[in-house]
Amino acid sequence: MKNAILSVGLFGLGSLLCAQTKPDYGEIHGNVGIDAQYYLDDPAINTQPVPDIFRANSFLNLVYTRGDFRAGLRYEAYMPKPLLGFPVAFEGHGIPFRYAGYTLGRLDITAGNFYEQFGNGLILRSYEERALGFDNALDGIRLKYQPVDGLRLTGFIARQRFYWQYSPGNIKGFDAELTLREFLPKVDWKKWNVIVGGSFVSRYQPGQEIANPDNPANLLEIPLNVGSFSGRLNLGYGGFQLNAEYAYKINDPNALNRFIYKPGTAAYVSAAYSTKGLGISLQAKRVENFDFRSDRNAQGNDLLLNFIPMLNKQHTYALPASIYPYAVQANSELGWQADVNFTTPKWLKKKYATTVNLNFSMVSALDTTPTGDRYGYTSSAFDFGKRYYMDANIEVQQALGKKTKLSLMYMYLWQNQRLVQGQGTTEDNLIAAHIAVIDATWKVAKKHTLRFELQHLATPALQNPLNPLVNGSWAMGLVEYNFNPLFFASVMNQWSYGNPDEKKQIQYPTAMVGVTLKTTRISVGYGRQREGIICIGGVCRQVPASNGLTFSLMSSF
Amino acid sequence: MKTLFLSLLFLSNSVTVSFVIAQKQYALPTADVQDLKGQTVSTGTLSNGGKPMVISFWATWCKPCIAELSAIHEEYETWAEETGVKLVAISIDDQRNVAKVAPFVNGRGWNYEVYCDPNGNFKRAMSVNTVPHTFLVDGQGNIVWQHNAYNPGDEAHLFEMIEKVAAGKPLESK
Repeated sequence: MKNAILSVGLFGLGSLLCAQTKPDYGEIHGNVGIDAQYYLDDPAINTQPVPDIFRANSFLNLVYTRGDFRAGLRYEAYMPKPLLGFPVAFEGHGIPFRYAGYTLGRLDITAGNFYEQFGNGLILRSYEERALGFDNALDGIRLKYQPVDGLRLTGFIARQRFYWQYSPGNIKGFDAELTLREFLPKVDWKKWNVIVGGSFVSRYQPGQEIANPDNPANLLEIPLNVGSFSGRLNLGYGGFQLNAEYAYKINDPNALNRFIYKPGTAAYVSAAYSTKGLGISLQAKRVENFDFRSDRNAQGNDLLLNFIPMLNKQHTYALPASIYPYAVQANSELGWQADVNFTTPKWLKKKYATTVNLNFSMVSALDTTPTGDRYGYTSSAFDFGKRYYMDANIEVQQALGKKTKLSLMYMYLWQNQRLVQGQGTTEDNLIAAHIAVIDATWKVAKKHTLRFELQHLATPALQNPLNPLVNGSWAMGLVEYNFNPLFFASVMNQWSYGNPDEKKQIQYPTAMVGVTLKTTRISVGYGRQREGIICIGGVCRQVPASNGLTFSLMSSF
Repeated sequence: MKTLFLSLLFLSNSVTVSFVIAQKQYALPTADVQDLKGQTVSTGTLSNGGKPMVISFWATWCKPCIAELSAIHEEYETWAEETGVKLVAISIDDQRNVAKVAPFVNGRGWNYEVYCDPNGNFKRAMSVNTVPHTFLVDGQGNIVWQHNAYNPGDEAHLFEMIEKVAAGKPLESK
């Protein structure tokens, strides 16, 4: 009954909004989305029987602004249960996100929920990735103040969202950023641009009894306050750009580092040069014992306070992105990446320019030596330990005429699957794969477009794969038809034809149709979803296999 | 099930609302973004001196976004000459890719005004669900048209809208 009242209430609110768009009353905007699925049994792909065969995740965001005042809320519903693969703790519905804020000249104040990132996110990043069911919003009070031009101060005290509850830890954070060009406008900076910043984030969490993992008869002495600091520099000169940040965290015994007392460090450096037609970037990072959460016992994607940027290309084609994805190892990483973009120059007199992207990345564990005490280990500063991941790829885009565009990609991938997925085997699972993608778009007639994708992943079959359904070579094909700007339909199939076990050579066909009406997109799909890991923006989620009918609606207003 | 039905009812109601509101003009919200040098900029300062402005949300990993911005790039000079339009590209890449945005944009020779929104401040303020999402802003700074998704040829429709806005004509008729 309560639910019904709420629904009717929101129905009424929805109707009221129409009346509230006159400037005198401020403005209301927002977005809304429903993802629903009807599940079918399909033992061939390893689906698990589910009691609730129809499930839906929905949200509604409302943002109200009037002059310098703003307020907003988000209603979320996971009914009757969250979609498979989303954390079950989301079950239910309610308003987990609401805030009000006011800007008063150089001061800005927010009370309630907010998202925030300090610098590169090494010690603080609170954000939402809805497609993954990830939301580590902060809830508390935040002040932003600009005492003079070029100096920006941010401070907050908050707790973190934990599904429908809050983190046990209280978080305090402070950040200062100085942009010299704005701070000292009379200086002739020429092509120079210098920005320096520093942050501090601390967690207070009440104590608890935790047994020493190496000697369970003894209890550990747990620090109640854990502080972390970081300093950063952003240096630009013409087309050159350098961004460096170093972060330090005092001892933070937690579930993921086996409750050791070693302090954590993280360093990130990026250098880039670009000019019209050419762009080059180099990045490197070193991360040691730097998993930082608002609860020392949290694991998985729960209650993350910081964000360690991944150093490999963010792949979006299905096979490169989802068969052997990489996930950040926040407790031990040393890696680098090089990325080059260029377009063939005009003096070559080619009718259609060619765009090329070259990318290489390699990430290893740190080279460590166990100390045998509660400090865990010592590590060498720049020696590589066991390698996690390597990826070399080239992507070329070329128009073949007014109507045809072609995109080709080749990628070599290497991965130690056991270390990356952290599953409980003792043998290293080394994967080496060659992946090729052809993506062609053909404008058949005005408003009618066809797009084709062919993908192939070639890899030898393993003796003891971590996931027997993902073993050996794969092929994938897609055909998509678009009637601009209204309608689209696509058919796709993935096929594990190289699996050494013939029963596991499975086809995963899916079909989808949809319409886009300005900012509303509705789609209906039917087919098989492969068991695997979905990664978006550096966070990954395990999704189980499923077969069924999906419905999705997204709209913004 | 009844609850679910009612929830869907309210959601569908909200969608109806969205159609009504989406037709109306509204002012550009303010949020902090970064320029390609890492300097913080308020979106309140975005303007094109009384001429139309396109705000396009994109990401370096989003293929349709790149297709849209590449297609507009081919015609951008002509568009600018004829209507005075300026395109502001807001990259929603997170910190993983922020350092790659400037090399990416320059490597393609794009002449757009580009900002990074690594934690989604502006994206949330503009209620953007997915990229690409393109907004058209008139000379007074009001959002007058928006569209989600891109397919080859969509840019022609966008340019028709820009021409109408530049000429001060209403957008209702297609």
